Amino acid sequence: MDRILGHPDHVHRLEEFGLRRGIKIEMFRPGNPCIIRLAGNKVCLRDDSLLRVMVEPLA
Amino acid sequence: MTLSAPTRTFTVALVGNPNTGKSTLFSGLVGVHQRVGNYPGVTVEKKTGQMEIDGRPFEIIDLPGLYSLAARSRDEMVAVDLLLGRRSEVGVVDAVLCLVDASNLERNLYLVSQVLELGLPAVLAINMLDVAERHGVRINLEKLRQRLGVPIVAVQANRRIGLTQLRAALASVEAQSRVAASTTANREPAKEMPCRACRCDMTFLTGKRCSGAASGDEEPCAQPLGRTPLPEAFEHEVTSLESELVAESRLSNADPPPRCLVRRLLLDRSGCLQRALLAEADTRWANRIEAAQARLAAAGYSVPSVETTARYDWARRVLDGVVVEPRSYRATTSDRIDRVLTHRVWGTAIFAVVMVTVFQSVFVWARPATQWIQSLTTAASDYLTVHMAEGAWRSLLVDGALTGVGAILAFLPQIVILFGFLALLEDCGYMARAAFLMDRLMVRVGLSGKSFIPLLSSFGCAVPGIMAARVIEDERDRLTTILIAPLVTCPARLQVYALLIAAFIPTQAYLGGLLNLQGLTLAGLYVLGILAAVLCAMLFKRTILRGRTPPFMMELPSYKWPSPQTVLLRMAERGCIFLRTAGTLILGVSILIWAALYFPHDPTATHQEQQRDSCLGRAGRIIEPAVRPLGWDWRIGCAVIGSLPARELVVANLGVMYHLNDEQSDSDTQNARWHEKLHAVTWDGTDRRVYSVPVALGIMVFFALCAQCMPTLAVIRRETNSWRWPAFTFAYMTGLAYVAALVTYQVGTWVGNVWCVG
Repeated sequence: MDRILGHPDHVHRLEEFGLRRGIKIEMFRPGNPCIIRLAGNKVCLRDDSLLRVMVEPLA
Repeated sequence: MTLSAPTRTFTVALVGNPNTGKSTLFSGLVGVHQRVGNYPGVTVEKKTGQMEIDGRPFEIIDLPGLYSLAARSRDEMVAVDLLLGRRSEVGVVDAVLCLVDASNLERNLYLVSQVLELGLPAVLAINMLDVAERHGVRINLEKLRQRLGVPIVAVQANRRIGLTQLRAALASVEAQSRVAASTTANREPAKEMPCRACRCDMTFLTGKRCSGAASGDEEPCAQPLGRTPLPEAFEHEVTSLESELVAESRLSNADPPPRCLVRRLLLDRSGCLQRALLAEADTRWANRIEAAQARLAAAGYSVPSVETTARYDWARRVLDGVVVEPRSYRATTSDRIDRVLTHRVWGTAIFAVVMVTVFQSVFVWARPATQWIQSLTTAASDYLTVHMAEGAWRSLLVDGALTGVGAILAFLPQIVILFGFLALLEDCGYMARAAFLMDRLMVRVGLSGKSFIPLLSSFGCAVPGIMAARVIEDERDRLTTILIAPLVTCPARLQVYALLIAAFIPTQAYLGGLLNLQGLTLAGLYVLGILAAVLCAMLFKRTILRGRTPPFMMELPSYKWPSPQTVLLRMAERGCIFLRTAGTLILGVSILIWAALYFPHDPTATHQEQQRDSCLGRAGRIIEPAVRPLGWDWRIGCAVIGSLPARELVVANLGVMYHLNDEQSDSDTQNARWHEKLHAVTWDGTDRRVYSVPVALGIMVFFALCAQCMPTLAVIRRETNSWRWPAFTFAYMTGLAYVAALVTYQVGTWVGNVWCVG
């Protein structure tokens, strides 16, 4: 996971939730909304034009 | 100060991320000794419980589940204010009990670092160690204890393991604070006492905990914690801003904001906190804070990411060597269940089955209980009728109070059973999956998946539906859901529909008996309710409740076995809330309506004359010009006003108004008689009939959309914590109902005329 682009407050909220630079995430259920798995827990996100999660593919 | 009084209650705030088992731990600690209310002025629920440890009274405050103390949402603001002792109705919080989830320690420590920064004595409870261990996570608790410098207790909240040790840890914190209070009270000037959040407290706290721990086995901190993990440059800005604020408050004689709020001011980019804290809309401060943020950004500490970076760095340092995580992530049971339950096809099918089962059970189980309650109130009123002398008192008790009590109690089984199921689904973790599945549908209306269950519950009854809207975090979504929930067709309307459809809609069959006009009318009324709810939701989200919705984010917690205690407590809690808040109001209104029908009382008048000349009857005739365009006579107007407490009352009121049930007969012939009599009703002094198909349709449409339900309005009042929203609901729904009934009647009459002429 690289970084999140968007309004600083929204980015902050996601970061507080644990979605932050350098962690490994996995797309558990693609679609809209989608489910992302990160260390030990899952989070459901909706596609939003105001927010972009930039990722770096792992292998 | 009362600190030295021996029986002073020690207040502990329970803080933790959502889904860490906080409510379960809370119930485990305090059992049934809990109270639920609202914080004044906000809709955040206040949950407190009492317990005793070694004869000393403790109060536990269960705070809403939080990921952060950023003071952005109302939940967070309440939590921060409460922890800082800024909410007068709770008083000073003496210690914090932090609950963390062992399988996700790093993220949980983020909140812990914010809590420790406040400088309050803290106890850390680690929940679900067993689950973490099953996932291959190893945690060295002893090492973690040394690094954090606070007592750590491993618990399994759902099995009530570790609660004794937790109580002991709380007791020792309480004992230490008593010792500290008695020594510091003599030394320090009293002025310094309320400022518990300044940074010197942190060193004081950590030092004390290391040297004077009651259990004696705690080693001094191997790595004494900094006061805050935020970088020096940032703290420098905080200090200078703080000193300016202190100087300012000296001028205005107000309390300066505590240091951690100053820190939050600097971190806050949205300006919410500025507006809340610096009441005088002063652009000077906004500019001042912006300048500081710009300086920090130039130094490489851009706000607010500096906070997440610093705190996660801190958490990683604390956990380094403490937590051993498995090399590769193994698919857990939760993952395997989720593969099915969040599947677009299978998941949705299972969701449908679950919902049908739940609502079917609510319906089947609540019915006998409701009938039992109704027969009980009937028996009570019969008893009173026989054993009391005729007069105002008997009438008050029988027709006013008992009718009201009966109406309230009739809702109780539904509420308790529905909340039992909802608590069960919530506790095992299914609720988030249901919200995920339904999100795709609800987003089109402008709501999120979390609104689905409350709205679905409203088909059973709007009251539990509105109460279930509590799970929606977003304030606007929640209000929209609450406002549209009463539009969804509930069974109470069926009584009105049943009477009028049977009386006025012809039994015409189509498609060889597969469809008939009566059934289609009923289905149409259901569709009308749903359509109105959808349109109103879209309208509200675009007008009064407009605003930028934060991006939708929802955690899907791991599945776990639900705890029966939590479920039972939740059922009891919701039942009590309903009885306490809605009950009193409904009782009051029932008595008012009774009085309006009873006074002015003329003992010589017949029943019918009394109705006509009562306050309500007069009111009915006053509003007659208003209801005439709907094709209603004053009696229908009266019946509608009289059904204010509950819409099903309109049936009984119509009976009273037209003197329909004068003779004893079994229900079938009585229904037939009712239909005949309704058909025969004429306008006063003419032989023109009142009722026609358009009039009947108009009445049904009116009742489909109106807010004639006191319990609903009372519950909206409770859930929104203000009279504004129930008043608004009543106004908009009545307006909508009136217009829709008008259109139905006028268009219906016009179509009827064209039809006849054609």
